[in-house]
Amino acid sequence: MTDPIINRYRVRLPVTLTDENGSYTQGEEFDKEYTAEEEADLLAFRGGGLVEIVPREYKVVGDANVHETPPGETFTAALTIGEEAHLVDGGFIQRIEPEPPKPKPKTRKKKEA
Amino acid sequence: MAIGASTNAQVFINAVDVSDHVHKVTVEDTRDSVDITAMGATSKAVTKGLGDAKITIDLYQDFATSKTHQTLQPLIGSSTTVAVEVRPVNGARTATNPAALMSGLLMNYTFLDATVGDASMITAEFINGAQAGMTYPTS
Repeated sequence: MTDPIINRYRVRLPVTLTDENGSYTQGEEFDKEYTAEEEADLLAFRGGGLVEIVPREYKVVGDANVHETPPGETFTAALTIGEEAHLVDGGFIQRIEPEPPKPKPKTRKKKEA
Repeated sequence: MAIGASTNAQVFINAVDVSDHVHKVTVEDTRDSVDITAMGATSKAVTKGLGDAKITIDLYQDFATSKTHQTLQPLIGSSTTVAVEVRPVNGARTATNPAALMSGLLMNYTFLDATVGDASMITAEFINGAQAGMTYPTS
């Protein structure tokens, strides 16, 4: 069973996209689980796309080179749901989830003498 | 690139490099021939109609992880297009090593075509699945 694929998208056109989580204008990014068909429609909208996929990092875990990257190494690509599902389900690649931002260490200001 | 034997073509299916299992690859970029012959003509007249493209790959079958079967089998059941790319020589795209690139649908997948004593070779046929058809990027 394929896990749902949530991709990160960036709004390309000067429009406002609204879903159950909020509204997004040109240049803004959002995470969303579309179907492959919905995603294809958005990417093909007016020939250039209403949104674009924000590239993410993947690790090659199979025995074959993927995106001209040898096994064990990483690459960054904007994969569609269909492309990613084929490569992840087939054991060729896996996502590298970005590390959550570390909290900034609190620094005390030195008292001036 | 001078005239020579083809020994090192590079083939990608959804960005997976399958070159080390490819025996033969054929890239076809075609246009329909539309008959526009009118009354009074003494010869047929034709013009070009819709474009089409096809990439046919003969590969050695391999059921190991990340190899032929695992690369192709999921695509025969999928209606999502994937990028299929062929380069004359294994190396970066350049003006002298242009790629043939197509968003394709796998329409025919021969799971097994085995003869006793022979290498097991199968055929995968990708048909154009996007309006762009076949493109020839050089970078």
